Amino acid sequence: MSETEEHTRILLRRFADNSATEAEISELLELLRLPEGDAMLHSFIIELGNQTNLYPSQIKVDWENMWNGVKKVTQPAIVRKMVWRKIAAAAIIILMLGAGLIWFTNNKKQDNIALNEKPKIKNDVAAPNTVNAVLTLGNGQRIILDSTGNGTLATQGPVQIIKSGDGQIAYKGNSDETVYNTLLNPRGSKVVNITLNDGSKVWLNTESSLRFPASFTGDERKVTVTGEAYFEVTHNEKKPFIVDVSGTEVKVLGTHFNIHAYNDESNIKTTLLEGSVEVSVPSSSLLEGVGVRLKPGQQAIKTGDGKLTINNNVVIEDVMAWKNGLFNFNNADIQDIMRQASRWYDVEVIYEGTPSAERYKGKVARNTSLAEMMKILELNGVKYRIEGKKIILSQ
Amino acid sequence: MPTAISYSDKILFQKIASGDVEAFREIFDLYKKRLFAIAIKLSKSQLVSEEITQEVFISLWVSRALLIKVEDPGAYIFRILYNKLNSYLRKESNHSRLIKDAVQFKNFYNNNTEEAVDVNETMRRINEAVEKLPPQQKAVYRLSRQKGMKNDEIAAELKISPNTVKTHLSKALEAIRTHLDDVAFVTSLLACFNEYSHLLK
Repeated sequence: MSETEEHTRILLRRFADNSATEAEISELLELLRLPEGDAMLHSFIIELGNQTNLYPSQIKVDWENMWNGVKKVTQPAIVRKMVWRKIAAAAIIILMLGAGLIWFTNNKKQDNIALNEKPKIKNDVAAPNTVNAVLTLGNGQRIILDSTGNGTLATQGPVQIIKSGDGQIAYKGNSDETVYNTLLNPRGSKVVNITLNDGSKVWLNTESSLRFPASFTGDERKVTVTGEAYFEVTHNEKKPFIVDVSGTEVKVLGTHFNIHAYNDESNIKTTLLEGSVEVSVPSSSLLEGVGVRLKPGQQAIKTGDGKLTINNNVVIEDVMAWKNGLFNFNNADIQDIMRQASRWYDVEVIYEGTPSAERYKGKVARNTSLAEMMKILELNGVKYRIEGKKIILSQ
Repeated sequence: MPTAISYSDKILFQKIASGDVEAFREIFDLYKKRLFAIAIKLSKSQLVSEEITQEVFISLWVSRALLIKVEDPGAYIFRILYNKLNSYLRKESNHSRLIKDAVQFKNFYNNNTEEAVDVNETMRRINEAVEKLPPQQKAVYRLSRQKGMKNDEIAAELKISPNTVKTHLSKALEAIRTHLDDVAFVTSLLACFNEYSHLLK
């Protein structure tokens, strides 16, 4: 244990025992702002948790009242379920408006099959309903977003990091230093939204990350992305916004665009909604540098072998389905579908035998549970079973 | 790591993950005092401590999907508490208030009279209460909280209706709570649980 840690621990003890002076308390609060301070606080809390003495018996707590306050959080879900049960089978259009209902077709069957009842399945995986993104600061300190309240989470010098709601953070302030932070949105987490200190907004899908400076300095605004992200970049001619996606650079000229670049997929897709971007692959010893400029509605695809092509027939709604709470399958095969499901539900997919080559088309609400989503595939001929965090598909 | 108060904390976590409010109430009852005690040692304010304790449970429920993969419920709950306390202590705007509260606390309460709750004691009392339960309630409670069985599984095992299982379980939990000398449990609240819980199963 370092001296600082030792000292912090001593002050924590004195503070807890009511024997600390005002000066010592002030000092303790300063020490707690250091990374070692956090760790000491955590271990001290665990220590206290193991002790048997509690609190002055003169203090009376109305536990029933506290429970009532806590119970309120459980109630919206109950109301939703009550309403659900009362809705009988209805037309497809009405069902699409409800939460978690689905419309799906495949090549063989011509009818649209709609699910109108909640199946009772034992081993099921719920859709994520929180954002458990992790923010790593310049000094390595990690903040798990969903376990903190709103307000200032931390600072990076003069830059403040503020949480304004579930899955929403913003960087405010300017600094001369370039300190890199990383926002990682893991599997099984909802979409997280971050506003960078220049006002640009980024939405991260599941299993995605964004590496960015707390404050943009210099004459370029450069960030790095993995997975899938949607950007709304503020216009600044003097400081072009550049996104680096494993070697592909997207240079932004004030605009809205979506980047799709998962490690387990060979293609990187950049889709432009508004404004203009230039997608380029810098030259390396193996490939010549190559670039394309996109117009709104176009998509640049960089294939595994480094070739860059433009897709003019992209449906923006389909590309942005993830941000709007939907899965979108457009001529997708089982493996495409299961890859998305595995990220969202954070499950491992195992195929017994060769997966079928059958193609599917449809939209599924993301807040359904895994079993509900699979039920639809099942009605379309897919066999599966869920075991804990694994889903096994068979012919 | 702080030990989970009861062996069935992991089972309770699984149930909470699937929306079981009664199991959530049990975790609340098992951890509320320890969380409050730690919060008050580090905030010196009853108001703040009550708020933080409440927030811990709310966070737990809101992220209940995560509970499925939790290996150590005690450590998990204390981590949430640590995050909330850390936030509170780090806020610049709380500093002067903290010092004021600390001074007041020191003067008001002398360290002599502290309520002590032994973790083993709680377990012992729970076991005691379970032993005293009528046979059907005891059987249902054990299958649910020790074996982690779901209500319809218990119904099949004991050859009774699922509704009867629910009733027995609620009565058992109420009896245990009373035995632990908790605040008087309101019967109407219990009725509410029953009405809602059948929609969750």
